[in-house]
Amino acid sequence: MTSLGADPILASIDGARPVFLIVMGICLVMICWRFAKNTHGWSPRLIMAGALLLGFGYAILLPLYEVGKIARPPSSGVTGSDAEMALACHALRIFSMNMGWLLLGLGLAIHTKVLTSAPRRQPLSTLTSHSS
Amino acid sequence: MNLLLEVFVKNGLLFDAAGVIGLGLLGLAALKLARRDESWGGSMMATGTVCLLLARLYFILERHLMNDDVLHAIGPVGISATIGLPPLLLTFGLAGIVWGLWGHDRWLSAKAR
Repeated sequence: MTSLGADPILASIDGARPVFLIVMGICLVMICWRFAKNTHGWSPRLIMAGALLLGFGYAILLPLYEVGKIARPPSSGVTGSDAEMALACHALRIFSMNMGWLLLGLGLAIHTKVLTSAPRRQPLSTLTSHSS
Repeated sequence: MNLLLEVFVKNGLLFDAAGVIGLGLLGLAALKLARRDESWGGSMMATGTVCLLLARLYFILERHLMNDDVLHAIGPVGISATIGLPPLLLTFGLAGIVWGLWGHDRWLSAKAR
């Protein structure tokens, strides 16, 4: 982890990870946008809401954490504007990452009909007539 | 402290649970996509989801399980694994999900042509 204020060298692992996160966040939003165009009902809204939250988290929040522009929240009772800011960013990160996955998962699950039962392949009457 | 902030910070486990449930749903949906359309993208997505779930479960359990006794028991190799593996799992999980979604999209468009 780099220290505060010092920008990491681009080719190092510490420098590549924020770039990777930004690229992945943007790719996630774009691919979900293309994917959501083929769906209908509530699933495209849920998928896009989740993808936007995740894109915000992955492309903006996490890289800022990685390069040390946002401080980790202090565990002890430190007060002041920095501590408030760190706590606010922490809360934003918890919300956007977890709700993003929840909404994206829910949207995809509704699209693929995981939550509804599969239609019966054989009509019930033929089953009962075989058994009797 | 601000009341809203307090709700978010104190109920971290609740939000973690929401994330884990969402990832589980995503994995189920990916498996269903893989079976329905017979695409490799769905399996890749499911693999990425499992990686992310493993890393997430480790981060949740770490606060409750890890102490000096456990660290002493697993030895230096285990300690390096606890440091090195979770970021690796997070990276591969995210890449797998994005790559899987892209592959599934490509697969569908190639099949339609």
